[in-house]
Amino acid sequence: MIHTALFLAVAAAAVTLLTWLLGGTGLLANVTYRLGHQDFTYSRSHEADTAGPVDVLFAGSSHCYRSFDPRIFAAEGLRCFNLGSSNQTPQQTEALLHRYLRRLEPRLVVIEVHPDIIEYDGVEATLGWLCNAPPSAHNLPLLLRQPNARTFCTAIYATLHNATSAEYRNYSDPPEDVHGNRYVAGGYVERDTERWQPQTFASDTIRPLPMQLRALRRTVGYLRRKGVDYMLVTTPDTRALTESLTNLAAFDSLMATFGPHHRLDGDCLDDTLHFYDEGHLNQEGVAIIDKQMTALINEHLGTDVGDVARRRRPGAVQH
Amino acid sequence: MLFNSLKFALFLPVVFAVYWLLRGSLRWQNLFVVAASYFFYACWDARFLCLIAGVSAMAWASGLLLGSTRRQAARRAVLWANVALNLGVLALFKYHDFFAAELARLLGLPPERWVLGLVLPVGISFYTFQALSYTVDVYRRTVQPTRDAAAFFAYVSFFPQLVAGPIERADSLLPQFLKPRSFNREAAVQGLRLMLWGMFKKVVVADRCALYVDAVFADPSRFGGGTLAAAAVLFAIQIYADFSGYSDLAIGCARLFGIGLRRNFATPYFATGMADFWRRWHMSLTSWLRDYVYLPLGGSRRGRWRTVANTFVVFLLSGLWHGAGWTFVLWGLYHAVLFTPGLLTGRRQRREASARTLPLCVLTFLLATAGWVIFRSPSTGFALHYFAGLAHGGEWLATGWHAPLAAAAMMAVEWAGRHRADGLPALPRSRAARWALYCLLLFIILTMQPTGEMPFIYFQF
Repeated sequence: MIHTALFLAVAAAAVTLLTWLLGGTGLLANVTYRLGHQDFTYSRSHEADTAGPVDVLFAGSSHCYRSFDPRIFAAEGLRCFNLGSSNQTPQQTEALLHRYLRRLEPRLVVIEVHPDIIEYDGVEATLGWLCNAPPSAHNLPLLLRQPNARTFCTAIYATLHNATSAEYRNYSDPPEDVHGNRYVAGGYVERDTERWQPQTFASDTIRPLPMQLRALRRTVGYLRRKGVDYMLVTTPDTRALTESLTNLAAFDSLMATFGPHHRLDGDCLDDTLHFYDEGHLNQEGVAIIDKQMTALINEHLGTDVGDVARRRRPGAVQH
Repeated sequence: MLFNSLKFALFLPVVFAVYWLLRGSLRWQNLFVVAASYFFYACWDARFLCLIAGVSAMAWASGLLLGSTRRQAARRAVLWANVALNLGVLALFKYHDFFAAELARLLGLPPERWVLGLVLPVGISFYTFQALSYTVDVYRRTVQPTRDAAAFFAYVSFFPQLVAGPIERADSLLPQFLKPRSFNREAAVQGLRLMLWGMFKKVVVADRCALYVDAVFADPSRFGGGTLAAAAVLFAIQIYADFSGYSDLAIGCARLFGIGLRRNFATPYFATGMADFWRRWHMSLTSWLRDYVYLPLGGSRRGRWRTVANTFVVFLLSGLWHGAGWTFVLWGLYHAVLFTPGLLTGRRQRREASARTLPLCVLTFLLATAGWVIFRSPSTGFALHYFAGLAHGGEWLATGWHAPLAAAAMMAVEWAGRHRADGLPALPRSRAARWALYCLLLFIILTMQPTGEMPFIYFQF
């Protein structure tokens, strides 16, 4: 028994050490460490670690960090932070809310749910966070719920590398990446206004993964226990993409079982004017949608939140 | 529940602990083996638990009937009833749709009306053969029928070998369930060692090769001859690493429970001829077909041409055992044809693999690889196009270094251990050196396995 326990300890230490030493060489197939990404997770996570209380906290996928612009909400007197990241599924949202809820103290949490994303296993999003965000014990439940050799090995390497290397400490995201993406304080990513070139899509059916639905249920349960108000929001896609989905109404009904769910109105948008690809708004589209979002927030909290926020923290609206 | 899954990593220690806690009562220990094995199987598909239970119950009852009846006619009736039942189950689930659709096509009828579309229960070919061999052995009076239902049900359903073998025989496995087991630390350590090696073969070698093989076999017309040849070789490595890896895991796992299972592979790619290959590949199936098909047909005792005919029957059945499809039939016939010259010339003696016989080993490997292309192809037309594509130019898909290096490492280790009973080379005497080796293997398994659970190839059979 003693030998078994000793062997397990030695094996764990040896595997950890070897992963750390060899992880950066590119020899290990399951260590996929990449610092910096077009979703600017490095900047967002570091800013979130020092950000003060906010009125509204957004969490979700690229549809979230490319749709909800804190500058627009700030103009309405709302202090917001956007915790979105590429392909973020409810599993990562759950981990992020556990990690940041206490620090950011939001009055309202907006969980962005998108038909595409709820079908993903979320491995890519987890890897993005592991590599770019400062190490945290909150990653552990996520790793255990997502048993996967790649996330596990990358977590070992990223945790030790980020804690010890100058590369990570001295890194900063570029002001603008090759695709024209720019990080905006508060977690938003702005992109040069581009226009989508229309295309058609084969009809498709949304197939939510049960593990993502379970994560969403745990997340709303956690928010309820913490007494934090929340709502679920789905951002608009181009009409061409929306019409290709055969069970969108069923998806909306399913989301409504988790709490108040709103599909932002895409009727006022034009596919070629307000989107830069089939599912992401350009800055002109964002301006329109964020007005809708402000109204929704006001309606949801039953008051003009902006006024309340201004009264509570006068002048504290700039990011 | 796959051996290479987190579920199994949780399941095994719990079952191990409870099993040895029950060592005071053989009956309870066997009942627990049955319960754990049924739970293991239910994780695949609980609907077919009644099928295993039914097959086990019929074989057990048949054994009792055979043991209590002296009249030969009655004994024969019981035997054939049980054979018909087992083969009927197999025919219904595995072969009905194939033969019904082919017959319908022959008669010009719509095949979709004839097929049942039944789900193939995992491991059906393994546990029906195991149950069948018991009945035949009791009929032949080479095995005593057992009254101990718990031991018999444990024999048929023992979870390490339930879904992909080795196909055990009643004379070796059943007595182990009929007598008390005692925990043997050395056997358990050997078992864990074998499991570690099996896991390496499965998740590093086989699954890494699978990434390349799947990409090429998805659309071979895109690629040139070099890529098709590389994919064929890597599939030969994949299927060996996958199946022998499973067998190592099963044998190692069984040792943790004080149970010995028969060896299923003996470094078949170091065989010096096709007859030698078949003495080393899937030995439990080969010996099953020899004892229950080839020898009853007369074996080699009725003249040369009858021997050849019997060999063709055995290889045809071996092909069909793997699946209901013309590619499996063709694969079986291909091996029968390769086997025949040795039968006719009488040159089938086994030669040890060495540096001198290496060219023979390579030739045998290449012949087996050509057979694996037929085996892997979804249709015979596909296989023919694949072979034709070997002579054509086209896109080259780089193999990367992970799969070839892992395959080379596996072959090197197996070469070093080819003369040993468990196929593994002798380990260093120093504990520190042994632990360092285990840690290195664990590290490689963890950092090199492809993501996602990849089922074992032989589960589909």
